[in-house]
Amino acid sequence: MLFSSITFLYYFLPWALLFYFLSGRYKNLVLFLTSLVFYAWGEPIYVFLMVFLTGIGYVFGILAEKYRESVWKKYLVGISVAAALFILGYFKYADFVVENVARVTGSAWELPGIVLPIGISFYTFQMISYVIDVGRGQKAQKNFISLAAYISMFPQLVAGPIVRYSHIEGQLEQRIHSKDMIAGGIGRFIAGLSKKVVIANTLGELTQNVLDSGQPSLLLGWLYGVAGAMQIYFDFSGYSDMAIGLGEILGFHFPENFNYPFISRSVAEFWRRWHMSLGNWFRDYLYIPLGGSRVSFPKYIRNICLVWLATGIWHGAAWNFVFWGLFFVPFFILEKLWLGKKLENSRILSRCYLLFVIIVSFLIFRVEHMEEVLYWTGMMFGRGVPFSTREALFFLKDYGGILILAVFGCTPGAKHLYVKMKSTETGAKVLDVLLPVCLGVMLFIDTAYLVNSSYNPFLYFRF
Amino acid sequence: MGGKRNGRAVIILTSMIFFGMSLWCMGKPREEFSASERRHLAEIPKFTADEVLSGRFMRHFEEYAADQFPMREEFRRLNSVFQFYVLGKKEVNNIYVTNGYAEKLMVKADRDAAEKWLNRILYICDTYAGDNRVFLSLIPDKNYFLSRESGYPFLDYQEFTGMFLHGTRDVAEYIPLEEVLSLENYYATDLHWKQETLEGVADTLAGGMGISLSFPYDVGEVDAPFYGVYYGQASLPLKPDKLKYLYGPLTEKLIVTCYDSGKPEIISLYDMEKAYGRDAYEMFLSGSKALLTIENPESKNDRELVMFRDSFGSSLAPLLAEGYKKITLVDIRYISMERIGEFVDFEGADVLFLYHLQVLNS
Repeated sequence: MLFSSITFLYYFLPWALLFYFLSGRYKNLVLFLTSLVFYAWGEPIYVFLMVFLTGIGYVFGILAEKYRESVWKKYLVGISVAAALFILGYFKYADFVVENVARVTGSAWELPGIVLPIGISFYTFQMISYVIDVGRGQKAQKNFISLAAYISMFPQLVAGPIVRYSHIEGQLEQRIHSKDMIAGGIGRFIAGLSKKVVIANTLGELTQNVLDSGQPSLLLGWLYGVAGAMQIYFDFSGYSDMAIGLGEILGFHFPENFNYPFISRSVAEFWRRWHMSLGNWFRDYLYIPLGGSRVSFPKYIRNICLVWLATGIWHGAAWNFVFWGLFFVPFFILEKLWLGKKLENSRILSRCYLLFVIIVSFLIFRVEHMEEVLYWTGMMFGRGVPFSTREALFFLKDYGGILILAVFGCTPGAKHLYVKMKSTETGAKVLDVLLPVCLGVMLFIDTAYLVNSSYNPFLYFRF
Repeated sequence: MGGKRNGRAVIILTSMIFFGMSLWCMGKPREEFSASERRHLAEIPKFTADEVLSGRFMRHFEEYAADQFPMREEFRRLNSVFQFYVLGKKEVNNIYVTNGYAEKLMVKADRDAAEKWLNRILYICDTYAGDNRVFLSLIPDKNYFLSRESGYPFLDYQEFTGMFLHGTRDVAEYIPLEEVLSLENYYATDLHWKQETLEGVADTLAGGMGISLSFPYDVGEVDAPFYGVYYGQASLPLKPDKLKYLYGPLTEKLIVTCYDSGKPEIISLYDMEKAYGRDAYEMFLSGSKALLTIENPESKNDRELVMFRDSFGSSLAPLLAEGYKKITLVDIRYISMERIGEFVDFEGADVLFLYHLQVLNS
């Protein structure tokens, strides 16, 4: 089920929340059951896979805690992680591996044709983090329902953020439901919904129109690059906002996932602001165990390459994701060696550098064939194409409003304005009235988009 | 999230919206048809184990939920108004509005579709109209006039029509209509042309085919606003059109026969019931029909015309009837080309292909 759907907003959510708040001390059970319904709506068969994976995590978590002081701990954690990775590998990468091995060996193997369960990368990583954390000293969860509620929790099940068990362990047992937190959660959810429905989907329409256009030009190339990058940002961060908001309504504090990444001045900073929960996961469970940056230079390069290879392939089983991950490696190395210092000296230069690198990176992210990246970057430099065409100019005019809104939304401008208003007495009073009205209006506008829209893609089906 | 009052207001207001709309969604009577979009709305899918396990139930339920949403028309209107007036979009649902006219964007030529149409025309000429006088006329759409002034992108009209002109140059004589048409000939909210303004078009076609018309008509008006197809698609607050028609002693004598049911059936030239129905333009010759004849008992000659046409022909054909004893209208979208010879007599008849640009490009 998509958050940005009539089914979720008006058939599922109100009643799931009502049952949840009426369930007294059975809140985790209700959360688990509603999450099963939520997941089964999109994956009626694979819901059993998720429960099975949760069962593995539950059993091995308890065993890892029991044998924490013995040599068995390592094996128990290893087995459960390997099992989770095997399941992930089978469902997500089997086709990719078979296809490429067959290509290299010239065999005529038939692809297994396995359908990827939605959200498998998110809940597998949550389960892995749980078992590893228990192995590292965290208390194991004895209540299966509580663990299942954590792994399957519907707000972050299909598009993150990846919530570490240690982060919400206490909240699973006891959490506070305050009026302010619920209201804050509602506000965050509606803001995220608007980011997805109003901005990301409209930018998606623009990129689709550009793709369908038969009139290449420099302006068209930039429209595709800029709109495409912002579409992914607003879609993904919108989903994260919805997840965090729903978490707050349910009494959970989920970690932030995005922190205005486009205002970064280096690739390293960008990745500290983009999909932070995934970055932190790889940092804690792969990069640091490998030695991080406190190793010899060749090993540092090896570590960086492995982490970014894993980051790339986590996003999808295709070569463009492999290249997308590895694309960042040279920039990390260059920034560490000398570019980082240079970038600090010029705000404009550093921002231009970052935006260009990111725009190109998202071209790699989107394409099916790598030649397309050369085609679009060539177009962005005006190679063999006019500066503009009538069609490109029309797209710019047609989507000008949403592009301006999106660019503004990439900056913390609105947040600063809100904080500034709230800090004054008059501003706070105005907000008291304005905010509920604005949220109600935004919810109606989002609903109107969903009722009228034929374009509402789910970008994470390959994650 | 601000003070206590603020938080309470947010919770109360949004809860009212979520629960109120949810209950309304579940309790609202189902609607079958969307008049503005002119399509059937999704019905609740079958709830069976097979449908659920295959995921079909869920997919269809999404469509159903969006289609049957309470106040759907108002929400569609809100969406269009927000996009158009707040975000400054130049088109909504592919419809743009300029100079008071709503029009569908047509940026790209669909070469495959055009080629199919060209091949159909050539097949008919080759199979049925070897010795007949054959004419071709293409109807430009509003984009042709609007794009010049407004800067909206439009396909390469000369190239597109050139494809037909070039392809049919050995079999048909082309009668251009661009010079006798202007924006005023079209409805503001619909794609069609206005019958009451077609004297120039009828004269041009008649002249091209070697007949003369005296145009002995008065103008009648349907006493209901006409909301054209773009009105519903754009869902913007546009002024409706007026639906007018030409009538006179001649139109009253014309005999219209429809053959769609398998046996001849006399129908009205202007179906006044349809003038107040879902698509008022269907009043002209009762809308989409595969095969019709218009007979003129007052004709001073024995000439016949076989007209291959789309819906634009429905409002034009009655005006050509003055110059012919019989006009046969064929819409090859609804009749197999291989079987046309079984129903249509081409002997000595003029043959006219009259198509609107949008039809040829789709």
